Amino acid sequence: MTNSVETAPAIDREQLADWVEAVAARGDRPAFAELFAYLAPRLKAYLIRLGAGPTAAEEVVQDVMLTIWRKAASFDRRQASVTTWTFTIARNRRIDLIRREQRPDLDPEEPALQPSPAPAADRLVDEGRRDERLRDAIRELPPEQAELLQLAFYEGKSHAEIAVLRDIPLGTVKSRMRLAFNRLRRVMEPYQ
Amino acid sequence: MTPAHHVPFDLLVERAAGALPPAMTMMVDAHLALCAECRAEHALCEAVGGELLDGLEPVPMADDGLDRLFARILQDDEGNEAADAPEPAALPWVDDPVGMRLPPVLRPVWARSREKARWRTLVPGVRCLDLDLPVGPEGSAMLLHIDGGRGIPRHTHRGREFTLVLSGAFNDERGRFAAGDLSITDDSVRHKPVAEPGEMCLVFAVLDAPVRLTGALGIVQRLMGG
Repeated sequence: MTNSVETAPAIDREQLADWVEAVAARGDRPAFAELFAYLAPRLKAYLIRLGAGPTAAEEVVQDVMLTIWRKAASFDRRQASVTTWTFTIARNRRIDLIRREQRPDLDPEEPALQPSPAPAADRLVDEGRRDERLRDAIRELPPEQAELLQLAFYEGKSHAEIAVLRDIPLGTVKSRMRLAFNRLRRVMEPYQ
Repeated sequence: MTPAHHVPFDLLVERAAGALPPAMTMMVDAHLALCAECRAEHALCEAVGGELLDGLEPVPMADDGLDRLFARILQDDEGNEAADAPEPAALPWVDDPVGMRLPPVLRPVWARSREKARWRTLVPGVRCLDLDLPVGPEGSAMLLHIDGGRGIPRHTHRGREFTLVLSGAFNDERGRFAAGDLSITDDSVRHKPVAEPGEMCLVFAVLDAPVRLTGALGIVQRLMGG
């Protein structure tokens, strides 16, 4: 496996959020094109990591970007970064597709699994700084903890699957994951 | 009120990463709807997912990717204008004693399930509605409505049983479980939950293997091939 967790190139987080807000406010196509250029290739990489073929991945990316276009008004930069918001849309879309596979007769009216409830937006935070701190904290995790995050989030593995895959006890997977999040939580505390 | 029994952290991580099956995803989401503490934890897990997405080595999209998407947006817009928004269906949960007690995330599946199945009596004082959700071959997902003072006979489970209280409360050997509380039992736990009188006791249960009754009723269950 290559290095654990790569860090993002320096794109201005505020810029991403501004583009989403421009799409929400006036259906701004140039802003959306910028979002597409930044997000779509990353989404495609994410879906391929999760086992999708390139063509299928491309189709799901189209769905996710369409949702971003349509739901731009529901984005709230105080609650989450654009990449976090995008991640949850892609993840929910994937869960929805898996569910349809299991139940081909699914009612087409069934709404996609709803986005998870957001935390209260009763705090104003320095969003750019918050995201930067989290990114640095992830990069500084010990490799065995960073690898677990990768397996869970990039490859959609359950803790039990990770335990089998890495031949370590389930309890160890859980405790390493806890340690990782304890560090991240400490770093993020001022922003929560 | 803040729940006392929370979703374990590993399930929050798996939910955030999209690794849980549909019924368990819904179970976690229903708890999140009732628990601010876990919502904050889950938001942190999702933020980690977002940062990781950001750090992925990009894979180029097809050259016409953006054009195709704009074409689709245009098509959708025209379609919407032509069809006009349909009247929103009646909201079946507004006047229903069960529906009104459900967190929004459970309402569509409840509405769909009661079209397909009826509430049936499990044991006296306990009724259940099978939920139309994909579960494993031996699993089940259901809503349970337990009358005050009644309960489920003593039982164990072959697998794990996740029970989220949506309203009211029940008590068993381990303590009290009220709205928002998640009870997790496995084959090591033999318990006999009893609902409190007062507010309707409504729970959302997901089992990954069938219940085994261990008291007198258990003998009947085994005789009947259960």
